[in-house]
Amino acid sequence: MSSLLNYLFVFSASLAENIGLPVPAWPLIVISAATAADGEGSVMLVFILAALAAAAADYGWYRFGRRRGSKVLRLLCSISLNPDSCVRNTQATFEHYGLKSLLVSKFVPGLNTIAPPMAGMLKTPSGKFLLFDSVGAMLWSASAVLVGFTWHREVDRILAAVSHLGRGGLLLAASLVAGFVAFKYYQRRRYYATLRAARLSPEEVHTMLQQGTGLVIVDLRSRSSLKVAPTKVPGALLIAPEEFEQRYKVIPREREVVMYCT
Amino acid sequence: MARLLHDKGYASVRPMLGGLDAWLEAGFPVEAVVLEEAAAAS
Repeated sequence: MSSLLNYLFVFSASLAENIGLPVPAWPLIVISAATAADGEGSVMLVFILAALAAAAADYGWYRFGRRRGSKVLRLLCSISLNPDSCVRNTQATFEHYGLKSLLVSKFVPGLNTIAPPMAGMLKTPSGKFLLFDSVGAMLWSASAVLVGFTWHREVDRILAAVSHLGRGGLLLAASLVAGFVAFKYYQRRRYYATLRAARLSPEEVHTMLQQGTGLVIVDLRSRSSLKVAPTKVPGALLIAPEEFEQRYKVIPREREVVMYCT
Repeated sequence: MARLLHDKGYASVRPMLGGLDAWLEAGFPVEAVVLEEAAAAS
């Protein structure tokens, strides 16, 4: 592999994964860095290209999230094959840790693709987003590059062994990748079956309230945060998270329910 | 918690994006939290 090919390889791998395609970029960056360490280009440039591609893809998602809001979530679910990226747990993580989650999001499956558009949806200033996101992208790229650089001989040996297997090895690798994609696809389908609930935007909730659709709103803030901000969405039921298991029965079962916290 | 309700047989449970902050930011009305209600929630 020539250096130029190596650079192209690492850039596209990082870009593809961060756009949301089911590409395992991290191990590919390790391979690329190991190849560079063996003389096919500069390790530093591999690091920069991987981080740059990641940050560029993230910024695209951020802009998109900023402009289109919750529609982006639906789109993400349909291309990423990663059910986790749609799961509200990761959204809750983002809402809880805020921008700091951009620093580690690349290491958390699901949060990776969801964090940048979430930042956009929540109208994070772009300067702040770029700062946190590029640090996160650099940490992610640096971790893979360091592994590849440190253990480049071992990586080489594995690559040599795989290529020694010839057609069989190629077939094995191809079926592993196909299996990975198929598994992700299956996970996504199952996720869709169990959860058709997308989040509601405040605008949608407001409209539903005005139309009088019998919506039940539940305020899930703890007592301490209620003291700090003693207002709520009109008509919302107050149920503190600690009390939830005992008190959820006050929520009418047959009505549509919307929950929120801070 | 939405999942818990879902498991308990609630048909439609959805979280609101951005929470109360987003609601306030959108400029929608709020009402004061009544003390008794807050006490009941504790």
